[in-house]
Amino acid sequence: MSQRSEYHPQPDPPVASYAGSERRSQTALSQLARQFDYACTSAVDSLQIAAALESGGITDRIAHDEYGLPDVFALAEELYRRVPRRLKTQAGERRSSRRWQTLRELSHGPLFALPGLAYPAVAAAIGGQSLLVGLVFSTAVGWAWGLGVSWLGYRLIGRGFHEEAARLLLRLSLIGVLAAELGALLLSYLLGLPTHTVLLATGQMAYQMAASVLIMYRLEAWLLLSLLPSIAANGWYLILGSPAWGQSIALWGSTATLIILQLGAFIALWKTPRAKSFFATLSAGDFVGVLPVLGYGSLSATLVLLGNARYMFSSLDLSLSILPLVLSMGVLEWQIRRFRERSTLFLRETRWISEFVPKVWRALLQSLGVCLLAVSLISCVTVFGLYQLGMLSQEGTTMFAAHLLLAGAFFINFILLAQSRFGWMLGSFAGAVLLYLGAGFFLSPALSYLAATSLLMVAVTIAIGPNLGRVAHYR
Amino acid sequence: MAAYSLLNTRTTPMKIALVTEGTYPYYTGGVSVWCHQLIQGMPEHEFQVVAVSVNGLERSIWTPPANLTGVTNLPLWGYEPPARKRGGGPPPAWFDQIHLTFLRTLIRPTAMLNQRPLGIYNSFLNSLHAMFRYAQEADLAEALLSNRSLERLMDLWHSAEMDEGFESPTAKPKPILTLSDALTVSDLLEHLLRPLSRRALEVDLVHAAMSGLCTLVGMAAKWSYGTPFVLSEHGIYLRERYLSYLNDPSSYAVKMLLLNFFRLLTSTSYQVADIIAPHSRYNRRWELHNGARATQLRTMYNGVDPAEFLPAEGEAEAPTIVFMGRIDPLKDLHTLIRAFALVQGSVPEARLRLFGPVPPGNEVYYQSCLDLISQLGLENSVRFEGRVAHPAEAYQAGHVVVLSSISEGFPYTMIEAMACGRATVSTNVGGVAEGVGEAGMVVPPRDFQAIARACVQLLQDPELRERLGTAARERVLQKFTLEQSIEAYRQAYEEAIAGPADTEELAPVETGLST
Repeated sequence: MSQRSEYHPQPDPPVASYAGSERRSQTALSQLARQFDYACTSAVDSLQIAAALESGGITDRIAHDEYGLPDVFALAEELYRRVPRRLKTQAGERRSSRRWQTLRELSHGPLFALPGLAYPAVAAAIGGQSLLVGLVFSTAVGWAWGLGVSWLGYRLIGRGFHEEAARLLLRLSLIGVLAAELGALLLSYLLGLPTHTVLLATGQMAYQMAASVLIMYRLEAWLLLSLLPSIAANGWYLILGSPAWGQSIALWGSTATLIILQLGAFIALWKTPRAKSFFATLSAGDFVGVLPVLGYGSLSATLVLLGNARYMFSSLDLSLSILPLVLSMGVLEWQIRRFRERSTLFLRETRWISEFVPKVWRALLQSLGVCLLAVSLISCVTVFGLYQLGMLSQEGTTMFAAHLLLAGAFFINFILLAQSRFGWMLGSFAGAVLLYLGAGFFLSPALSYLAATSLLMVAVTIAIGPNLGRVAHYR
Repeated sequence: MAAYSLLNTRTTPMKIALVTEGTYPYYTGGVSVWCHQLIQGMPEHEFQVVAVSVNGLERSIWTPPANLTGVTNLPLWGYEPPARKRGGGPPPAWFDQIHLTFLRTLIRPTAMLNQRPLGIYNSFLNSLHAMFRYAQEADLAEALLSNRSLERLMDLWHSAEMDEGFESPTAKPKPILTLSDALTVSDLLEHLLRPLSRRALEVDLVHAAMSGLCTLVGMAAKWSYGTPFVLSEHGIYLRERYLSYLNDPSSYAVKMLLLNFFRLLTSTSYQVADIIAPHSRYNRRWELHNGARATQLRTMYNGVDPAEFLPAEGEAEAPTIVFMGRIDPLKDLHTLIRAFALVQGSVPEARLRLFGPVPPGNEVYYQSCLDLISQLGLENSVRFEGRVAHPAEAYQAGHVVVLSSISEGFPYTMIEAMACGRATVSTNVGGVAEGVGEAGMVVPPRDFQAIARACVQLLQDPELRERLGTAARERVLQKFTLEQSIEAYRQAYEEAIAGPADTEELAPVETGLST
C-alpha cells in the first residue's frame, strides 16, 4: 500500500482501565489486553483490534496456539467483548494565547488610523487636491487588492501551503504597488496633477500591502514599531501647530516608517522557508473565486470614499466622523472570532439543531452589540469633545450615525463573506452606492449617506437571517 | 505455474480505466510502480487513469507510457463539485428515505454485514446506488449537509435503536454524538462520496488499484453500463484505515461512523467486483472476513524485472543496513531506529541508510524520526538519503535490507532487494512471509529487539548473508517476475470480460510461512 498515512504521536502509556479481579488477572488473554490496552479501550469495533493485533505481531497461529481461538479475528472479538471502552474527553483551549490574540486584533484599529497623522504634513507639501486624489485612488485600489490578495493567501495557508502563500503575497503585493503607480501616473496626467501625487499613491499602496503582510504573519508589533518615526515626527509637527520648517522632518518621519515597514514585510516573507519544488497550488477556480472578493472590496471602498472624501478638508466634525469606525475595526475582527468560537462551542454542546439556532442568534446579537457599543462609545467621546469645542454640526452628527450603521453592516458582511454569500454582499453594497448617488439629488450628502448605510444594514440583516441557523456554515 | 500456461491466448484491445487513490501518477511507492508496470506491460490495451486525489492540483511525476491516453484527476478536497440544481428547494422525499437507510447502516453496520451472502439485502449498496442517481442530476453535497440531513443523523443516533447497541454490561459510557460531530462526519462523507457526482466512465473495464474510494468509480460504471470491474488489493485498505484512526484525535463517534463507512464500502465493493485480486494470500483472510466470495479471488503477486535488479556486486566498507521506501508511519521507522541503536552495541561501526522521499504531509513524522535519532545519539551513523535515482542503487549500498513496516501488502522493496541478492530482515505483516519464504529473516512487527538480533546475526555472518541472498534471487526468478504478474492480470481481465466466475482460484498458490 503506498498511500501516505496520518501520523499521530502515540498517547501516554495507558493506565489500565480494568478493575478488581480483571486487573490482577494473569491469564494470557488479560496480559494481551493490557499489552494492547489503547487499541482495546478505544476501538470502534473488533476489526480495529484485529488490525492493531496484527500490526503488533499477533498472527493466526499465535491466536490458535497461545489463546485457543481460531484466528486473529476471533481473538479480537474476544478482547472487544471483554475490555470496556474508555472514551476520551476533548481538551480545552488555552486562555493565555487567546488573550494575546484579542490584543493583537484590537490593535488593528489604531494601526489603521495612525497613518492619518501624516496627512496634514503631506497636504501642506503637495497640496490638498493632490493628497485627496492620491489617497482616494490608492485607498480604493489597495482596499480591493489587499482583500483579494489576503483571500488567496489565507486559502493557501488553509491548505498548508505556507511557503507558496509567502511567495504569492510577495508577488501580488509588488504587482499591486506597480499597478497603483501606473494608475496614479495616468490619473495625474489626465487631471494635470503634480508627480507628487504618484509618489503619495505608491507610498500609500506600499504601506497597505506591507501592513497586510505583517498582520497576516501576526507581526503587529513590528508594524507599530515601524510607525513610531512617523508618529513622533508628525505628532510633534501637529503639536507645534504645523510650522513650515517642521514639514520636511514630518515627511522624513513618514518615509522612514515606510522603509522600515517594507523591510519588516520583506523579512517576514523571506524568513518563510522556500518550497523545495514549485507546483501549482492555486487553480483557475481560485482566481475566478477571488473576483467577487475584489468586487466586494471595490464596492465597499467606493461607498466609504464617496461618503467621506468630500469632507477630508471641510469641518473637523465631518472629517473625524469616520474615526470611530476605523478605530473599532479591531473590535469587529475580535467579535467575528468570538462569534465563530461561540458557534463552534454550541455545536459541541448541543445535540439538536432546534437548540443550536436560538443560541447562535444570541451569539450574533451579542457580538454585534459589542461592536456597535465600541463604535458608539468612541463616537460619543468624539462628539462630546467636538460639542465642547463648538465644532459639532447637525451634518456631522448624521455622519457619525451613518458610520455606526456602517460598522454593523461590515460586521455582518464578515459573516456573509465566510458563508460565501457574495451575491447578497455585492448587491447590497451596489444598492447602497446607487442610493447614495440618487438621493444626492434630493437630500444633503450626509443624509444621503445615512440613507445608504441604513439600506445596507437592512439588506445584510435580511441576508443573514435565513442562513444563520444553517449548521453547514460552521464547518 | 500451470495456470499461467493458459494465458496470452487473446489480445483483443480494450479500453481500461485504472482507478487509483493517492498514488499513481502523482506519488511514488509500490502501488505506483505496479500501476506503471501494468500499463507498460499491456501495450495492446488503452489505459485511462482516474486518480482520486486531494485537491486537483497534483502533477504527474511519471513519464506516461504510450498506451496511457489520459489522466482524470478526481479531487476530494479543495474545490466544490459542479452543482447540479434540481430547481431549488430541499431534496425530494425519496432522497430523505435513501439517506435514512444509508445512515441506519452506517450506525449499525453489523445488522447488514452479518447477512451472508449480502446480495439484495445490502441496503448500503442500494443507498449508494440511489445517491449516485441523485448526484447525477442534483447537488449531493448540498443535500448531505442540509440541516434536515444532519438532524436525521442526530435523531437516529439518539434513538433507542442506536442506544441498545451499547447496552451490554461492559460497554460504558455510551459514545456521545454532538452536533459538531454530526457536522464533521457529514462533511467528511460529502467529500468521500464526491466520486459519485462524476459521470460514469464509458470503458470496457474498470480496474480499481485498491479498495476504498476507488471502488465508487467502478460501481458507478457497473450501475450505468454493466462494465466489468476488477479490484486489486495490495495492502488491506480497510486495515490501514483502522490503524490510521487508532490514534486519531477525533471523537469516538466520528471515528466509529467513518470506519463503519469504510467497512461497509469495502464489503459492498467486494460484492460488486467481478474479480478481486489480493496481492498475497494473507490479504484473502481480510477479504473473506469482510464478505468476499472465494470464487471471486485470484491471488496476484507483484513482480520485478530480474534484468533491472541484477545481483549486487560486493558490499560497502562499513557494515550497512538499508531501508528503502517512503518515510511514513506505516513503515514504523521508530522501531527500526531503536533496533539500530541496539545493533550498534554489537557492531559499533554499523551504519543505517534510509532511502526514500518524505511525502507531502509526512514532515511531522520525518521530524519525529530525526528527534529520535538525536535522542539516541545516532546522528553520525544514521542518514536519510532522500529519493534515489534507481532502487537497485539503494540495495547495493547495504549489507542487509530491512523492512520494518506494521502493515504491507506484498512490498516491492522486499522482492527488489531479494532480486538484487541481498539478505533481508522483514516484519511479518501482509504478504511478507509469503514473499520471503526461507530466503530471508522474518520477525514480529514493532519488535525492535528481534529486528536488531536478526541484523546483528546477518552483519556478523557473511556466509549466511550470501546464502540467503542467493536463495532470495532464485526465489524471485521462480515466482515473482514481472512477466508472470502481467500475464496473471491479462487473464483476470479476460475472465472479467467473459462474465461472472464461479470456479475457485486458479492462480498459483504460494503459502510461504503461515500467518
